[in-house]
Amino acid sequence: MAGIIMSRVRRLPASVPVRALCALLLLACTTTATAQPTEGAPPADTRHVTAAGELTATYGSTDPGFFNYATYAYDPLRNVRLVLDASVRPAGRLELLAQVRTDGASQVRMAALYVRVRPWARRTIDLQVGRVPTAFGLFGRNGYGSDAPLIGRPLPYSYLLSLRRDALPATPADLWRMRGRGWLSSFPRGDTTADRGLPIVNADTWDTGAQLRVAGGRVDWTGAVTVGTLSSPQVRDDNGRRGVTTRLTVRATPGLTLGASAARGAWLSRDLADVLAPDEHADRFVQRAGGLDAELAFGRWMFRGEVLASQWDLPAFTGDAGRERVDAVAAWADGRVRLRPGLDAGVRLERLAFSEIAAAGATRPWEAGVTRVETGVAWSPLRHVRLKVAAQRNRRPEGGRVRHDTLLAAQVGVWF
Amino acid sequence: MVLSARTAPLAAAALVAAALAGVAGRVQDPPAAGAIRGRLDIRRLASAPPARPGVGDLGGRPARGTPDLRRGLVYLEVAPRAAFDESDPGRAVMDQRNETFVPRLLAVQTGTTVDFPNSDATFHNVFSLSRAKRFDLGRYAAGRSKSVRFDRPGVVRVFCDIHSHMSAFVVVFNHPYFRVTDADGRFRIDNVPPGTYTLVGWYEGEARIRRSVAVPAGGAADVELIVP
Repeated sequence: MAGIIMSRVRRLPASVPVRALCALLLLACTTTATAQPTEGAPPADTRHVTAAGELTATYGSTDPGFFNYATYAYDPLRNVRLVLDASVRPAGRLELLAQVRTDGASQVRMAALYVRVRPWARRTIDLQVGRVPTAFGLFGRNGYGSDAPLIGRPLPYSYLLSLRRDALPATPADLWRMRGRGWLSSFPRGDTTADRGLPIVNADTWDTGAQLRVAGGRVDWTGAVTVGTLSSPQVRDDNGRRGVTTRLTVRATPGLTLGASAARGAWLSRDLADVLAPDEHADRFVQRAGGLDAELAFGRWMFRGEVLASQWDLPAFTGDAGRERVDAVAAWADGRVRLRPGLDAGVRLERLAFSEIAAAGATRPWEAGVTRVETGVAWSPLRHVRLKVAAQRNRRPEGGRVRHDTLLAAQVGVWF
Repeated sequence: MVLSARTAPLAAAALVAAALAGVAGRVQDPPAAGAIRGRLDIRRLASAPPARPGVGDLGGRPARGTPDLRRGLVYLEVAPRAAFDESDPGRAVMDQRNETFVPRLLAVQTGTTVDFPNSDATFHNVFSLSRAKRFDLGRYAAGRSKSVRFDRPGVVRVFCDIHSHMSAFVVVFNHPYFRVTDADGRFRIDNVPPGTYTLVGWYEGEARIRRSVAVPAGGAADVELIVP
């Protein structure tokens, strides 16, 4: 056919299999009908219900040192996780939000359930009440989703320390004995059953309370009052004292955000009343934490970093009134680069260190410090599909049965 | 074939006459071009991609724009000979405004450079994983613009890596016989050589309807395409 150009337009089939997969999962977004447009104006978005989700399947090395476990119930490097988010907006300024998670298809948890109210349409003031995302720090709210090439989470948000809210060490030696064993910790006072300890910030479970956010220009402030603490979020108050969290962020430039966070709250359970000194109460033992963070993005690069410190009050080892204090300091930084469309590479460096305690002529950190390097590559063959491969090197020379380990993991994720 | 002395001059004369006739044929004016005009009637408009619920956010997000979903695209499935003509593809613009690509549908010829300015106060990161054009412009701030040259025909789905609800289409043709409809679905394709063509009505990523249309010399063919 001389003189004729065949010019069939190619169609992108990418969205079709993704939608088919979503349909198979029975998790497609729920939306109400869209109204027909009025003359001369784009159609208005009339959605009142939206939903989204993310399904990830991870398979990797066994983790005998429990460097990645946030809960003893499942191995995060060998896990299938489904996260479903939903928003119901019955009125313009009122929104009900929920998040349901399941790990290993074994247990369904309501991770978030709260009401968001914006009282004034022209002012960015939001009130959130219910089981709300933590205001503290850089990582605890959204974590690594489909937007990062890494699989493991930063140590301060997942690594289990030996401290427990329902059990207490009787001597410094009890703490030293449990160094590096936070995944299954036990102490002689309180509940003596071995159980998991607490992380510095629990990013896996959110706290319950009220949160106020005020934003204007480049500054964003959030304050929250909750029934639990950073380490130990709760659904119901268990010690009679509220936790307070605050965060301030400043967008210095469109690509640079600086943040500062602080938190304070009673962290011990009132179940320990029987083992405390007669004049002591569980609500007097406080976790205090502070942190500074920064996020810098430009072009195909993105960097994030955070330094945070936490201090926990413990009853005096002597059994008398008074208290001991143990500290933890964590620092982490990650960076990622887009090598080509759909292909990212990233690395995270981090360090977790602890204060020293003295007894019987010896002085040692109360927990075993951890150093970790993780690097990973992620590839998106389709927009909704993410394949990751990551390697992680952990070192914990001062404690634990396994003191160093190299772990590999691969993950496939689908978001919809 | 062997030519005798008598027949050879006749054959030569016939060849010359044929050649002259061919030249005369070539210098004739081409038939006047026509046009195709009409309306792409989209009976059921698509819904805009919803923003994912911000469950992990500390507050609500600022109000976003709504993409204009009323416009479709019409084009000739098989282009006429005039597609060989030299053309200057030039530039086009797809803005990013109120977390929306404006326009949501852009049709260009191969070789066109499309600018993607950022008119929002936040970062955007335009990218595409489509086979017709894979690109990633990285993150850039308000007031800045980055460009992509589209050299292959096809449908390019464009997204923002930061705002998952932002999406758009760039449809690239290797001929000039296409038009994006107006908000009422009306269109007009000019300078179409006379002939019979297949006209395609396209909406939101799919060719929804095909219709044979005869373009008269110097006139216009009227056509109504209904997308149920």
